[in-house]
Amino acid sequence: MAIFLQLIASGVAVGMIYAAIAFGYQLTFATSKTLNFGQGEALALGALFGLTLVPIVGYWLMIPLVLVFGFALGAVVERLGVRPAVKIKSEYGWIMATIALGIIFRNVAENIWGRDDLKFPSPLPEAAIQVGDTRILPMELLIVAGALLMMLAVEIFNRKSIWGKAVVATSNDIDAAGLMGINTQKVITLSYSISAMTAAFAGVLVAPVTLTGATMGAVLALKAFAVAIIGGLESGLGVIVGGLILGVAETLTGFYISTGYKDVPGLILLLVVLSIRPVGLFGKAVIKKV
Amino acid sequence: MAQSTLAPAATPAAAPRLGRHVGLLGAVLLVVFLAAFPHVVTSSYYIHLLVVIAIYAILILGLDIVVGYTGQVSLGHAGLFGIGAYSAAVLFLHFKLGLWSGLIAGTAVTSVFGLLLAVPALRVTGPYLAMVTLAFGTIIQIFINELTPLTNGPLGITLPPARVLDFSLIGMSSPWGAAGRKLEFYYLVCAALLLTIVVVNRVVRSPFGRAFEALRDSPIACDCMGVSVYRYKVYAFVISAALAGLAGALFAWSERYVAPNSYGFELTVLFLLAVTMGGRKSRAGPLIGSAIIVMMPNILADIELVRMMAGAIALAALVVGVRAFLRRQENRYAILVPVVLCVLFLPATLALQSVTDFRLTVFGLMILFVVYYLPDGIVGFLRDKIPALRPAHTAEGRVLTAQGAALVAQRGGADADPLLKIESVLMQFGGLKALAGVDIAVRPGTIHGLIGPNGSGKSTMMNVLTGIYIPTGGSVTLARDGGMQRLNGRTPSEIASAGVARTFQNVQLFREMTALENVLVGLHHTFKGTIVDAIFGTPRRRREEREARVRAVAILDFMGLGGLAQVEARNLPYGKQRLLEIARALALDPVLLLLDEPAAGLTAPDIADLTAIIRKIRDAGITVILIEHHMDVVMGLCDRVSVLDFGHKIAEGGAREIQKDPKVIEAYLGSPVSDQEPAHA
Repeated sequence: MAIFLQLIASGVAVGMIYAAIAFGYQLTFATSKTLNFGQGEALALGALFGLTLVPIVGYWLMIPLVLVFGFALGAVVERLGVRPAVKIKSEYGWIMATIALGIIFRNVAENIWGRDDLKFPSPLPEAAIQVGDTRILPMELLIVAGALLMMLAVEIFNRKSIWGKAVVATSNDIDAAGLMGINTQKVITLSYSISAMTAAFAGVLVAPVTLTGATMGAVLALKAFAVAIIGGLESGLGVIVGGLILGVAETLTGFYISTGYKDVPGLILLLVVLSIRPVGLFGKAVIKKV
Repeated sequence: MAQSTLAPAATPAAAPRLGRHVGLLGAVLLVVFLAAFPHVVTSSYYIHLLVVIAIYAILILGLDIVVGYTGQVSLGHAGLFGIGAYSAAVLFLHFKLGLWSGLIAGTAVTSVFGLLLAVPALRVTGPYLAMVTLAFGTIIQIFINELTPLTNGPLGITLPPARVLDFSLIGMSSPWGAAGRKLEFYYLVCAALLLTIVVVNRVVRSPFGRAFEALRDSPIACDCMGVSVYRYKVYAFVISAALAGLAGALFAWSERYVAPNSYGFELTVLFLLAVTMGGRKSRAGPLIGSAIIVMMPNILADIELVRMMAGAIALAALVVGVRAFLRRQENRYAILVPVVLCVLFLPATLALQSVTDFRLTVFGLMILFVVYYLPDGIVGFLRDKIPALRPAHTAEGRVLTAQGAALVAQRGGADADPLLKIESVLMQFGGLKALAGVDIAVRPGTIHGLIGPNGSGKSTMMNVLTGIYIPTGGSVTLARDGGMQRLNGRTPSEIASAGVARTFQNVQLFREMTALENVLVGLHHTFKGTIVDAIFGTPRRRREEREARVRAVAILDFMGLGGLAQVEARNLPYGKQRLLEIARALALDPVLLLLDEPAAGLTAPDIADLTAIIRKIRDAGITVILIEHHMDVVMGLCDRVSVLDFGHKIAEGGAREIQKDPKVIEAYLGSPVSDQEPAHA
């Protein structure tokens, strides 16, 4: 039982990372019906950039700089990869373009930071805290708190600020929002920026417990897509539930079967959910109009 | 028929005919090139390079079926390739089975996995499918890595040199000596490539290929033509997977080593780059694309060559850019960014000692370039510039004169029993009752009008009748072969096959297909041939194709579209598109034809033609249900009219009665007498 609780505790931390990335998918999908296939690279670049900054400015000051970096990165992806494709109404176009940008980012990162995985310094003591029978790493608490805080901040921004309201309006009906004088193009760019910012932040959060490298994001992003599907791509905080389910399922698989298979439940879940209920567990079925 | 004299029996233009010869010429050149290559270039390095190009080309030709023809993005093809390779290698590792068993097993096992991959593809498309296939590829890689007892895990499997022909079995020695034996594998791969080209060519030009394109352009219309989207997506994925498996097995025996990491994400993206860059929906495109992705790493390894190429690209870009600005071309600012990037490429290569490490960056840039500036690939670009290279759309059975009947007469006329019975049909969306228990009986051989104000449930009724919506309650039955067939609860393609055809309010043509091909999709039910017939081009297949084409042209003539048979649907004027939809629906040989606002957007003379056509359809015994807002059309044509309002049937009767019915007048204009408000103009 103690082991089981232990596994759940670490599963929760990983799950929150998935939730944060999935949250980023939702943001761009809501505004533009597109998403960044290079989200994993945004995460990896955020972590690597943070790794370079930590010795210079220290851990806590590094975070806002990484956020700015992620914000800019998202805008670049939107401008280069998404906007031209959406203009020519090519779904294949933005899928391939965001994949291409992801590959480029990964390759450039490999050339700058090398191909080996690097250790990310932990800002908190690495000794575990004992809660009952369960040992929890302080870093895991930071991950949960950080991811929740990030999502909360974006939600508050969406609900309270005028730009956030523009994001919500564009998500509901992009044509009507455009007719009401909202620059929907800018809103889409903004959603990409926030999305990549979330991913970059997630990268910094997760880096101390995993390792940092150019390829660290690829599988994370794919599994986060599974979480986004489970939670519903359209909206909602179902991603948190989805993230927790997946995170726990993964640590359990890793422990009881083999760590080699720990990515499998997420991917199978993705295949199964999309084969059976594409709108996700929390999504509503859409009536197609003919 | 009046139309048939008006419509010119369009002779195929010179260009398509030439296009046919270009294809043939290309095939001959390819055969000669492949046959002669090892005798001209004896370096085994280059022969091996060509083998890899050919193997990749086999896979990419298969990928083109999924990407180009059915329009789905698959990121799982590297996984399928890996399954093919591992099937062959594992057979050798555990059972010492050689090349031929490997090829068969690779193709068969991978086909089964293609079937698995098709399951999610039935439910989702676009980015969802991309992610699903990516997940599939990743899972395959994990399993190859982890199932060590079967696959030897991360160590991989080493294979001996492939023995293509075993002469010792018949007690002979090789007739072409030891030197010739080395080329056996090369020629085997060449034969496989040529075979693949022939098979893919035949499949995409068969009803199967047309179904693939139809489900890409409009899945809903495809289903409503009796062509099951589900079934043909499965076909596309299985054929594509089989070719990927064949390529994989060949690859295993060509490299003589398989390892889990060779079949990852990068390879999948390279395949997609090849198919897009070469050009979709062509045979030459995948060959060109394959050559590019295989040669590129070799070219990048030679820094001098890269610098020279970068110089050439920079120069070309500079010329294009300067010319655009001197001539003040409209797009001069749009092309500024790529021009600058191309020019900057040169100093970048000069600064670097080696670009090999930036291989993926180069590939990424190539993808971006192709997506934005060469969306139809190299072949598409050439076809656009040189008309002679365009494909001959009517390549087979070029019959363009009208023969035979356009319409198949149906049992119609004096029968008193209704053909279609709609009984208390209820359609509920959440709290909204779009149809609240509607009863309508449609008599055979009549034109039955369905009118009502906007939002009254007319289109919902159409969708219920054709199976796009499953009604919440009630029943729909069709009189067929003496009995009554239930329609509710069946799929659109089953209902279409039962003899119910429809058109759409917002035109749903197969946009990238010609008018003739659109009608041929409607005639899909006349093809009884299987995929085997398509692959081998059997006499049955050729006869069916010939007959269908004759029928299709007759139908086009009947609709007055005879001269436009070879025009792509997206290039037709709007009015003609609506007529083409009716032509396609007629091809289904329906007993019941549902027309959803056929006159919308038509000019007055066109409407007159349309009414004449609808009468002729009725006279052939085909029952018509007509939704229309042009009241003169409705009143002039319909034998009986049902009026819907807010999901209820408020009136039914002859056109005259309906016009006088106070409830109908109220529904359209509001209540006339009791209303105290002054009327506003």
